[in-house]
Amino acid sequence: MSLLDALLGRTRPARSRDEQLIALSSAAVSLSAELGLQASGQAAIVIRPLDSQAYRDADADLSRLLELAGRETGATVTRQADPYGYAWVVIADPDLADLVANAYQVSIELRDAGFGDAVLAAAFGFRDAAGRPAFLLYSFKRAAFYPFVPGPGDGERDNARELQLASAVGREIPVEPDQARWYPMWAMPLDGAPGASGHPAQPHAERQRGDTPSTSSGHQPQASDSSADNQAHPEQRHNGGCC
Amino acid sequence: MSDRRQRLARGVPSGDAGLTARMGVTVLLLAAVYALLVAVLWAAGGSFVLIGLVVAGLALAQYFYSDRLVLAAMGARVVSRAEAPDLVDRISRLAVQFDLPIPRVAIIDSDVPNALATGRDPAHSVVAVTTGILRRLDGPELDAVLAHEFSHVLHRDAAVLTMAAVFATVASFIVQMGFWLGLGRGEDRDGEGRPSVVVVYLVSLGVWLISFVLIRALSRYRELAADRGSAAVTGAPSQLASALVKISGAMGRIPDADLRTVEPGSALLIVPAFSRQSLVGLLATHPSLETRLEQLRRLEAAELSR
Repeated sequence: MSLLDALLGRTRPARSRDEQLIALSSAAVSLSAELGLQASGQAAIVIRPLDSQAYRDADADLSRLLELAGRETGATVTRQADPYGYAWVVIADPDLADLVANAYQVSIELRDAGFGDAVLAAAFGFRDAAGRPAFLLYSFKRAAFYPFVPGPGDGERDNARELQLASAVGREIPVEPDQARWYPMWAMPLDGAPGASGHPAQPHAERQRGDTPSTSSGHQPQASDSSADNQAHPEQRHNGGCC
Repeated sequence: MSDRRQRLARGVPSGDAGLTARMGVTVLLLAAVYALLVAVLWAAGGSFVLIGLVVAGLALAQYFYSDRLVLAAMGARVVSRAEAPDLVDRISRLAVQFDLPIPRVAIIDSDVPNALATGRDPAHSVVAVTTGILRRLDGPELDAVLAHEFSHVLHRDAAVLTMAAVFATVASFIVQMGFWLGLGRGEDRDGEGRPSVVVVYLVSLGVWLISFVLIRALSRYRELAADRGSAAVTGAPSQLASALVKISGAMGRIPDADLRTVEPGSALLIVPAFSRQSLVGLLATHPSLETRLEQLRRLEAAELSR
């Protein structure tokens, strides 16, 4: 968006671009050789809350589309909601290259289905030898990757580890140069991700394992699940407008 | 399917030619009265030009401290994620959508439901909310309000309104100090054809009053633009409408004494803290609730009909 638009008070939603996402598959060797990081077997794409009528119309299609994507790629594709009403498409596949290819495929299908600029970020999970989690996030708005490593305390990030990660993969993938835009993504429905309260999100992980590959049959399951996550903030329970 | 795909891709319309035109005319009128002020000060001689430069300099210096000044005036406390995980998580997710750096997050301990954004540019921005708004709004409504504040950051409204008010500050300074300045100079001026102190005073008074009304109009247009921005990015005009109704309803029940303590940052708030009937219309910093709801209703309708 240009400065002129800004000064005239016109907001043009930032474009979502997926062209750099596929580059991640080339970074597996660096991650493993330099930092001992292995893919956790999970990736996820986050879509903004789907409140508007047009998105509600598309919602049923999304489930059908994901079921189809799962069948085509052989990966396990599920839908999750986070406590803030954002929709997550979680892809499970043990091999990083396959995971990236599947995530890319899903992002293309989301775009084709019209979700376009609502597609915000993709997260890829990794673990080191000690089992500590690390994430590489791809911002569709920036068309670049950045690291996100939860720290030991509540709501902390391990910045040293994040900088190591960024420099390890800097040659293979585009890394977001502006660290002010290394947006933390708390409460991701991924194994090892810090939850809404800052602690590992067990309810999410369990729900995910218990989920069937296709959730197209249920239209509202996430609404009740996510309001359960909101018990710490009962006044801010969302209406399940997302899913 | 393809019809809906296009509709989804386009989303809520972002521009509004009428709003842009009204904003442009307001800025032009402001520039005209300011030019008059500068011309009169110039004609009145060196000391008035000096006063003008010093006051304008001070007003611009405020611009660099706007974030700290507003936070201090409002009694806002910058919080970490550990203190307000829900709020901070929502804000970092919205920052991704607006493609803006994550602003600092502050909480104002007040039951008046309100939110504000300040800072001279996106890298120095602060988004503050009151405990009252956190208590009253549900998640999607809070997101819509925060998106309104993000739109202020994106539109650089703190900087725009500061710039717009620079010469109004000069004029108001001269009006408030007018008699004192006049006494200091006495009647001993020797330049023929120069405007007298009285003329400078009267022109400043006129410029101050007119620019005050114009700046308020500009502020209202920026509010409408921020409402559109929120709708365009969240895709949910109705959530913002619902939040505004809730906030306004609560405002009406809050005693005046409480409202006045929140007044300093009123131009940057989501709903004016000063909700007296006498201040509506020309002098209001914010459009009326009806105007804002009407715009959001049109956006919702435009989205549905696409």
